[in-house]
Amino acid sequence: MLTEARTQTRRILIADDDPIIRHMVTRFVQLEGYQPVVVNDGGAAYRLLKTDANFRGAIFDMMMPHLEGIEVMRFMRSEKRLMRIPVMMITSEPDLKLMANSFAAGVTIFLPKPFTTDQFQSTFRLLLNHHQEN
Amino acid sequence: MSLTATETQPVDLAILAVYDDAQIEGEPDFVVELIDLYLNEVPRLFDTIRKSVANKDRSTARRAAHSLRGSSANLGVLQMATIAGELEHLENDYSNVALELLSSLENEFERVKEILNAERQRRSA
Repeated sequence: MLTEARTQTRRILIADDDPIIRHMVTRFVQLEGYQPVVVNDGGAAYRLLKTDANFRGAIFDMMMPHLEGIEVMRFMRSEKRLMRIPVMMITSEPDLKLMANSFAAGVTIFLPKPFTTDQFQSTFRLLLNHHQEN
Repeated sequence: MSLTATETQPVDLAILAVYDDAQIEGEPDFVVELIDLYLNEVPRLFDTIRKSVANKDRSTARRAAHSLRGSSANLGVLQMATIAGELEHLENDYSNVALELLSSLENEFERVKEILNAERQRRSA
């Protein structure tokens, strides 16, 4: 029942402390026909996720104040009601080891900065396809 | 390290123009919104970097430089993205070099502001 509800929701959680990237991602998600739910940092994402699991996907910046993207994602992977929400991690670190560790921790897909509208769109669709397959 | 490199264009407007495809009809110009956010955000980040360097708070300075690098690169502000990357990844001789890099960023931002304000005006005309 919970899974069914989640498949139907069009809400996407976005957490990024950078107002420019946040504005871009919010618009790109809207253009894809989804409903952005936007918070300014990892701490706010964590607090929201403690009471709200109704998200089709989540998009986090890797490096955020208070709680980094990877820590929010680890919390999600430890909670049954959140563990199947796919997570896109935005990063400007071309660090393969970091990416490998992040995949191991449960990141679904990475979007490297800088990115264009098209690159976001392709990555976002892969994120949601992953969700449908699982 | 290239504190004064000037070969790169301050702003690659072709990168900025890519975001025209995210324009929604009837909404304010999306690229102008991005320019305004950037012009407001950069001085705030400079301030954070200056205070963090003075307080020897490398973690906060690094985070602000990281944010500056990411948003600059995304908007085609390439030289600032490069210098912010140098600042973000500084390891040795921290304070002096960090302040030199901040000064380079501030000088570069003067050039960037002129270009972005002109682009803003062109789009608002």
